[in-house]
Amino acid sequence: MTTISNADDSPYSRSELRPILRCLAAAAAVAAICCLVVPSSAVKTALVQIIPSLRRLVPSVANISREMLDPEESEIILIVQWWFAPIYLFIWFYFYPPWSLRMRRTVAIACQTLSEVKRTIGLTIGILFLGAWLLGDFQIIDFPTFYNAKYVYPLTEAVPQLKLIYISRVALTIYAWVGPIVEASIVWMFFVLVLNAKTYLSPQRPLST
Amino acid sequence: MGAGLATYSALTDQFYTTAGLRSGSLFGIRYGLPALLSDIPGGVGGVIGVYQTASAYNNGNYLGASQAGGATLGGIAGAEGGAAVGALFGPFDVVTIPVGTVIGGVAGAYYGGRAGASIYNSGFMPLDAPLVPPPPPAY
Repeated sequence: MTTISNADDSPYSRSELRPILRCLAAAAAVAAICCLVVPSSAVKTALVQIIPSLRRLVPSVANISREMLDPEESEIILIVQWWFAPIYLFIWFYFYPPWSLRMRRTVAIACQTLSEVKRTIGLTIGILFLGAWLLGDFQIIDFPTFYNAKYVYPLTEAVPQLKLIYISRVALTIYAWVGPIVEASIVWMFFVLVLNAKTYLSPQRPLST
Repeated sequence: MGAGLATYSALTDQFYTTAGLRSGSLFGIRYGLPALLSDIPGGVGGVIGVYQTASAYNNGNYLGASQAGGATLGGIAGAEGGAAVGALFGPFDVVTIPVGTVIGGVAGAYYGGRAGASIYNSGFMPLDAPLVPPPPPAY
């Protein structure tokens, strides 16, 4: 057994979450601006001209906007938030790499606060559910995600609570803000669970070298 | 305001720990301010779902009520499960529990809503179907 000897190998602390929280706050500020400021038709037209190239990358944008009274406006709100998705991914994997020793130590310490039953069930459900979500994102299976917008489109199968996005600009803005951080976090959470599965099942393992 | 929130948090935390209810929940909303903040998506979804169910029922839209009711129950169950998965990540749970709540909640609401609609359409709860008397026997 070894002890934690230096800061580089120490487990992550809550204060180290600042990069992701700051990015979330910045995205929220941008979302608020998009919600409050109604662009003029000239600005809207200019923004929409650069949207088509990005719209192809995110299928949910076109599907949701199709049902809106003002498709251009909703496209802008949604696409601007999806620009944050790669930034979220970069922060997750650069600052908190799931394969690092620090992550294994963090997981090991987190496991000490959870019972074995909770860990085992959580790990199993987590890998299956997050895996299904990612397969749905890649359209390998028919699983609804925020990326493919199957929770809100078509309307006949939409989640009743989420149908609010079609009648409320605020609800659409919140939905747009939540989608990218959720999708990026799912990728990271899935890798953390898979790469540290042994640690979850036997928490003492990562402390020995 | 911060001091007030901190005091409320500390008091509720202590109260529910003493009462053995720290991890308890009511309609998807867990006790204590930190838990409440992390479960806002589930709580809001539950409240909206209950309102939608009641509204659809009062308007005579029984299919909609069945769908919204199923979505509400499924959403609450899913949010609880998702939050449990999010709790596996130690210090990252500030982000991962809300994310788990959201993804579990929407997935649960999606499949719960479909189940509610299927149950209604299967005739298990023909609330709005007029009672049709059986045809007279042919002689």
